[in-house]
Amino acid sequence: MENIDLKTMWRNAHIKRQVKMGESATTEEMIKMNHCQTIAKVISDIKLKIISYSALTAIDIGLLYYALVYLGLHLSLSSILPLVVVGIFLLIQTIIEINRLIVFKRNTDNLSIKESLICFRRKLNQMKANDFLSYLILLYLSAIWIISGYIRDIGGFQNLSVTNAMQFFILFLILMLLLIPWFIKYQNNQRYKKIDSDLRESTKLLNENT
Amino acid sequence: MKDEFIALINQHEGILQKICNIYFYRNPYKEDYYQEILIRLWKAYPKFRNESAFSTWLYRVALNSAIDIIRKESLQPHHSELSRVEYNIPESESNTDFGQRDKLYQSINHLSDIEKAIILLHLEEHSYAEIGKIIGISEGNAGVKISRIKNQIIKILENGKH
Repeated sequence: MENIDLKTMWRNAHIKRQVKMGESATTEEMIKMNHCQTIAKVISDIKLKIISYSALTAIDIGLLYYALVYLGLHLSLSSILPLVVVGIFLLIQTIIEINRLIVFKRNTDNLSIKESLICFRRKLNQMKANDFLSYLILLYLSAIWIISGYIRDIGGFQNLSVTNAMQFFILFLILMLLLIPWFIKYQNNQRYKKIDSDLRESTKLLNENT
Repeated sequence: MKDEFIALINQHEGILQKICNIYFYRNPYKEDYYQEILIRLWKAYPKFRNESAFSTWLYRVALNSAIDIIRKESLQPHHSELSRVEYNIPESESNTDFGQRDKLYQSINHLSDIEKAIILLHLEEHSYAEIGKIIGISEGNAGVKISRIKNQIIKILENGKH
């Protein structure tokens, strides 16, 4: 084992065969760009999603405003429910994509590698927490709004009936709304499992004293 | 400032190439990520205050950028390890008959991102104190980790496995 001198191997390996990189553009041309092609594509995709989701959210809210405020229509909950559910979904997606964009745009290159690792881990946890909280707050508020709207529509609690099919549908919808945030949390934990474990391992490695 | 930066980069180009070779070994986007690191170096350059050697600053920023690119790549929803075919690696290179350089890079490729940074700095003749400063650990800790990582690489080189 001791016969292998890594430093000599490394030096010899780099005496010849240095394949030049970045030949497609000069240094001056490269630094004029904001990002390389691959990263720029990812960022522009995220921005496109943010614009699309927010535009659709605005249209959705506009339609609801037009019907309920401008025209002053007194619509039942069941008639506006699809628009509300779609609006909530679009709003959540917009928030999630904004969180992703923040993570992609920020970097801590001037810090030490350990400090950068800590910052990235914090940002990732923040992103996951924001995703979960967006779903939790919006869906739980929606559930409360749907329950109160439905009770108002049927004229009070005393009119609740076990034989009403609509009530089962509302109950099922409420259950879904209450469970979705926890499902998203579980899904995110699965999705980021690999990077989470890599970051944990790296932190452990850097915190070891011997 | 731009001319000064370009001159310094041209002078230290080899460092960037080695970092890219280590972190984006057989990655089809290696050239693209080289550009990204260069762009990030340029963006970070105004914060370089001559408190350390330019090469030390360059290592810190470039290593952070490379590690950050890998992390962000894995945040992508459809991220998956690409196969050799998708990477378009010639058959001759995928054989076990590697040159010394490839063998070395392949063994380093088994290490974690942080371990790669530590061993690269060591192989590039940085002192334990400098390595500790760039990584953010103590000098003694850097020494212990280098010895452990070296043993790990030697073991892989000798046995062809972890």
